[in-house]
Amino acid sequence: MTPSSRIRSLGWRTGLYGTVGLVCLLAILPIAWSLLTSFKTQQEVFSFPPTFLPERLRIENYTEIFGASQYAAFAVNSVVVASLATVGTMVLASLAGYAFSVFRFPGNATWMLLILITRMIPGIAIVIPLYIMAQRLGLFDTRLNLIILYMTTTLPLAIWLLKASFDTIPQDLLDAARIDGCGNLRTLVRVVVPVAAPGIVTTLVITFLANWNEFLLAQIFTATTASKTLPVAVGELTQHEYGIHWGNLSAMGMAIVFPTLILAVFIQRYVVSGLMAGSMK
Amino acid sequence: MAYGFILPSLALIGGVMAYPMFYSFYLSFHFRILSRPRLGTPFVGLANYLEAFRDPLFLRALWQTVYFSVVSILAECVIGLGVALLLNQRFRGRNVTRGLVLLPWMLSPVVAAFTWAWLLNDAYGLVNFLLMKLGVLHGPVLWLGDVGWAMGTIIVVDVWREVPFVAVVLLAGLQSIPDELYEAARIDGATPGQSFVAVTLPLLKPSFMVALLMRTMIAIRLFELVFIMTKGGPASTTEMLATFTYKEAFIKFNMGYSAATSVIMLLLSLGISLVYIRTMGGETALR
Repeated sequence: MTPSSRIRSLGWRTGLYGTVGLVCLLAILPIAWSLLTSFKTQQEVFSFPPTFLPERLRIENYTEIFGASQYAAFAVNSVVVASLATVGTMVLASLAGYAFSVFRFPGNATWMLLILITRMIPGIAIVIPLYIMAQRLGLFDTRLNLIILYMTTTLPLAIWLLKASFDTIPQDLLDAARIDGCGNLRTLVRVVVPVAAPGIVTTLVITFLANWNEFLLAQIFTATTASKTLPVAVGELTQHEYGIHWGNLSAMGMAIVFPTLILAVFIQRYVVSGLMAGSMK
Repeated sequence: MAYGFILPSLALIGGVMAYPMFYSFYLSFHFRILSRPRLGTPFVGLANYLEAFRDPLFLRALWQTVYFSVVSILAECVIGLGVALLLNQRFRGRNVTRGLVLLPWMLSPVVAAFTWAWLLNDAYGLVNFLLMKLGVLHGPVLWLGDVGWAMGTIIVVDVWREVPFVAVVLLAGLQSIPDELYEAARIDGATPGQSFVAVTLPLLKPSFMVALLMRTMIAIRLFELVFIMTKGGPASTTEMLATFTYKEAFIKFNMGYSAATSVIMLLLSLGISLVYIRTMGGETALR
């Protein structure tokens, strides 16, 4: 390496790491700021110039929020609805993805296309009839209603992702299972699901995040502690007429973000690869 | 046999998405105000649609949705390409960085919205403080309360949220370009700039089309950011089709009219998708 090219390479590396640092900072700064705010008193929050670090790690914002019974109920609703809807979607999408991947039947491609098209329907375009239907069926403000809605909205993408992932399983493996006397259901559970585990984890994470973060449907279809979820409760806290309690609000925001952070740290590789695969669909 | 596996999914999608979609069409040709059931549901033909195209607020929401989509998606594609190129370089901690960069996109939109509303707070927000400290601003700016700034601010926050998605899609495209092509370009005496224009950009076209298609579909539906940060204000300068339809349906309970505006949104969505899918080459793009 000549001295000049070494200097150029050093400059390149400095620029590269500098840019990477800047991009990462921009990505996490707002969340980090919110995390700091969640430990601050109302007095610290409303100080100018802003104080960067909280005086001490006080958790009162968290205990205040989740000590209030309704917020604990919202948290339970969020967990129950997002988990059950995700399980439901995964079961139905595994069955459908398996069928689309393994069976050759008339209308196979057409059905896949129709399922894709349902992804292009904006939620707001179907909520009006759904609202009238929910009122009529007595499903308004129930967890069951939200679970059904979430299962449906996440199904199309889940079917596509799982089909793509099942497509990569070698035919020999399926044949071997058949020779061993496995029926389709047993082949799916014993062979396909374990082999396609990375694709399944990706789909699971994407589905869960969509359910966990969902706002529009929950805002319209929930009203009380019977089914209201955390995002809706956060939305309400932001609309207070007489000043927003940013500390409390941030604490609640962090409770919503926490599972996302866990997923981002531990299984980001699956999500990135899944998104990449999914984006090609 | 196959149908037994598919039927549960199809039944759910049919009952909860397809049926309501047709119900929306039906409603859009009828008069219906939920809070006044005694007025019934008379057939009114195209009246709801004609009303929409005479309603200055609806036209404003339509134009602003288009404006928002075009500007934010353009910015997201340019910045997303930059980030994708960056993440495609070799450097230490690349995998962790790819995960970190994805965070804004994984974040709950409601949390992203209020977090930014707090950062952009006129009196105590970090953004005004930093910009004043750096001498860019002389006094605090009402980012979300000023008719001149609100739309731009919403666009910036949306770009922050969606750049990761575009970047990851483009990164997948970058990784699918074989090294031999760059090698060949280098042997032919192409500079890095020339091989970027002659190799990278043309081969990234399919990825760009995918990103454009997905982003357009989502941008047209923009709801959470506006609903939390501005409620469509100030003076309706950030009103979008989704927030407009929401208010008509669930504040005014004007179901027939809002069904019509939601059908317009649906047609816009499907129309744009079909154009993209056509351009991408039909079946191959869908695979």
